[in-house]
Order: sequence, then structure tokens, then C-alpha cells
Amino acid sequence: MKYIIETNDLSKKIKIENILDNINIRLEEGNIYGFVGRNGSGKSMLFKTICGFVKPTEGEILVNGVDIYKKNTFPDDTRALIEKPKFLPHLTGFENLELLASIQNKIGTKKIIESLEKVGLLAYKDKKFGAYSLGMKQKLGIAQVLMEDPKILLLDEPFNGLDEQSAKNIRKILLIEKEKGKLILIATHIKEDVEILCDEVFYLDVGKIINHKIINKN
Amino acid sequence: MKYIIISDLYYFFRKKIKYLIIILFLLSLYPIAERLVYLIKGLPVTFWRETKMGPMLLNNVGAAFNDKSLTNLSFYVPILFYTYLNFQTLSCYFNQLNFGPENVFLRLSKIKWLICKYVSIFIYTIMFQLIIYIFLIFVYRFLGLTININEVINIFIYDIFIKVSFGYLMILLVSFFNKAGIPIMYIALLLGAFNISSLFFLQYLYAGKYLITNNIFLLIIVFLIITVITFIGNKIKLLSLFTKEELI
Repeated sequence: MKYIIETNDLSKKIKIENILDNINIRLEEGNIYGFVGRNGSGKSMLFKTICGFVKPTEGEILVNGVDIYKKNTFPDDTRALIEKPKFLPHLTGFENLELLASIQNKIGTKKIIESLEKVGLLAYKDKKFGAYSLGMKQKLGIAQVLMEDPKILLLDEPFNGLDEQSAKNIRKILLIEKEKGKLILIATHIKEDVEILCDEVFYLDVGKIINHKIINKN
Repeated sequence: MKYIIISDLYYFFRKKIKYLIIILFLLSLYPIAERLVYLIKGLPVTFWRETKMGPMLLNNVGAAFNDKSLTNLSFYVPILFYTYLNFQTLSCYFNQLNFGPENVFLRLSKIKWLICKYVSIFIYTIMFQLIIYIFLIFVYRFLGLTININEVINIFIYDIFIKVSFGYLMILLVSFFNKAGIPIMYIALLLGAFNISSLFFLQYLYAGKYLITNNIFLLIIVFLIITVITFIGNKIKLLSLFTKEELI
């Protein structure tokens, strides 16, 4: 079995505190994985470590078979929304996405518009990011993750600030992405979010996986 | 990569142009004040025409102190100019920090991002300096000063390398020091920059009309060393800088 993301004895210690403690996970494509835990349980740190932004104290992370820390690189074809959506406040939602898309130049205006439409933000595309509400910021963060059609999606608290209808829409989008064979990781402190959506759920506490449930997996 | 550079330059010209207009006004005060003192003191017009342009330009662009100056502005102008330029350099470097590392580095490697920023700062400094120099030439001409274009070009080339090096060092300083350390280190760096500037402009100020042109090789070597060292240092600190949101 080829895993897209694999961690082996992954640990992160800051001073004497264990932020991540011996994490071993194997994640396959075409699945949604949930990471549930209260604030400070290590969910965001795990996502940052998988993205290559935080160096683990021990262990390894393989993304598509590449040890990202040995290679000193960031994972390929991966997009993430970690903690809160971060964009340039003086640009509009569309301009922010346009600038990010121009870095790799893989997609054009059409795809950006499509992703904004998907998350229900098209009507506000010309509004400055600084003037967006929390829910709109969150939607733009999700549009940024979706627009370049990545293989791996990491979403940290993606339903924060969203109304019920918008949350339902995002859930629907994530299920469609899953059907396309994407690997999706969702971190949340709300159990209900993941139990509807996820194939497997990891429960974290003080940096440790304390429980692992297989829910919808065929 | 080119879009990041274009975005930086666009950001500067769209958002920062008003500061440039203010700085142009402030820079023009120094030669005007000097001219007025000459007039008040009744010094001969020929003396003003033949001797003042080089040192005044160096002082005006913050390259060196003019110890023969008649006004206190000769002390404040270089500090003001350096501080303004560094503010712009840091602003250019931090421009995209609001994006967060996940938005930038999952699309672009750290090295490529840094190259973009170094190129942006270099281009921006050249464009900015060009505007300042052209403006000052017009002001000097208006005040009746004799303009020597070769002199101006020489000073311009030297000044670019010194200013860009200083900008790169400033970024390193902000990356490695905390809020309390930055002002102290800034003053130290400012003094160092004046000394480096003086080292290259000393011969010009005290000895003759033209710069010793072979100094440019030494200056380029110093510039390359500073670029490499700051690049390595900034690469190490880049990710942690994305979390220093309070600095933006």
C-alpha cells in the first residue's frame, strides 16, 4: 500500500513540553481524515509539521515517499489553510487569489472565478480583504486551497465563522473533492463536523493520538 | 517569480508614492537652506557655483556628511534619508508576510522567494534613487549650481551598491533581533553605513573632483559578500519571520 502521507514516531518538543508525541499516521488518497482535539491538543502543530514549517524534534514525515525534512523542502501539490486565513488586506479577494495563482502560473482567471463561485464569494470578489467578515475570510481561505486543484488539502478549522448554509456547502465541496481522489485532512474541535464527513478520525490530546476511529471508510 | 517582483513594485508605486513626494520636498530644503545662508552671508557667487555640488549631493542623498556645510540640516538629512529608505526596504520585504507561510511556501521555495525579494529591493532602490537624483539635479540647476554629470553618475553607482547592501543588512537585523534590539542595532548599523560610505567617498570629499574609479571593484566585492551572508541568514530566519506579525 502506498501512502500519500506517512509519519513515523513524529515528535515535537518545545523546551520541556511535548507538543507532538510519537505520532504515527498513514494516510491514503481518496479519503478524508479528521483530527479532533481541544485547543492546544497539537492539531495545528501537526499540520504545520506536515507542511514543512515546523521541524520535528524526532521522527520523520514522508509525503509521496519524500522525507521533507531530510530534503529540506515543502510538500508538492499541497495546499493548506492553517489557523486563520491570511491575505493582503489592501487587495480585493480576487486580487489576492490572482497574486497567489501567479506564483506558479498554473491556472488563469477562469479557475479563480470558479473557486470563488464554489465557496459563494463571487459577489464579493472586488471587496478588499481587510473589509471581509470572518466568514468571508474563511471562504476565501478555502477558495485559495481549492483553486489550483491540489492532491493534498489540509484544512484547520475550516468551518470557523461559517453560517450553517455555508458550512453545508463546504462539506458538499469536500465530498466532491474526495470523490476526485484527493487526500483531505481536517482539524477541528467539533466532533460533529468530522463524523459526518470523515472516513477516519484521529483524536488528539496533549500532542498524542489517544483514539483512532474508522467511520465511513468502504 | 516575476509576478512577485511586479507586485512589489506595483505596491510601492501605488501605496508609497505619497511618501516619496514628501521626501523629495524635504530633500530640497537642504540645498535651498544652504543657498540662503550663502546669500545672507554675502559669499561670492563663484564660490557657490564651483565648490558645492559634489559634497552637497553626497549629503543630500545620505551618502556622507558634509562637514563644510553651513547648516545643521547636513546632519539630519542623511539620517532622514537612510531611515526612509530602510522603511521602504522593510516594507517591500514584509509586503507579503500577511499571506502566511502556507499560502506562499507551498507554491514557492524559500530560496526563490528570497531571490524575488532581493531583486525587488535592488530594482526599487535603483528606481527610487533615480527619481531622487534627477529631482536634485533640477533643484541644483535652479539654484545656480554647476552640474557635472560624470560626477553625478559616479556617485549614483556607488550609492546604489551602498544603499542596497544597507537594506539587506537591515532585513537581517529585523530577522535576528527582537523589538528591543532593533533600534539599538539600527543605530549601530547606521553609524557603520556612514563609515562605509565615507570610506568610499572620502577621497572624493577631501582630495579631488572625481572618485577613484577602481574602488568600484572593491565595492562590488563588499556588496556581493554582504548579499551572500544576508541571504543565508535571512533564509534561516524566514519562516520564523512569518510569525512576527507584530512587526508588519
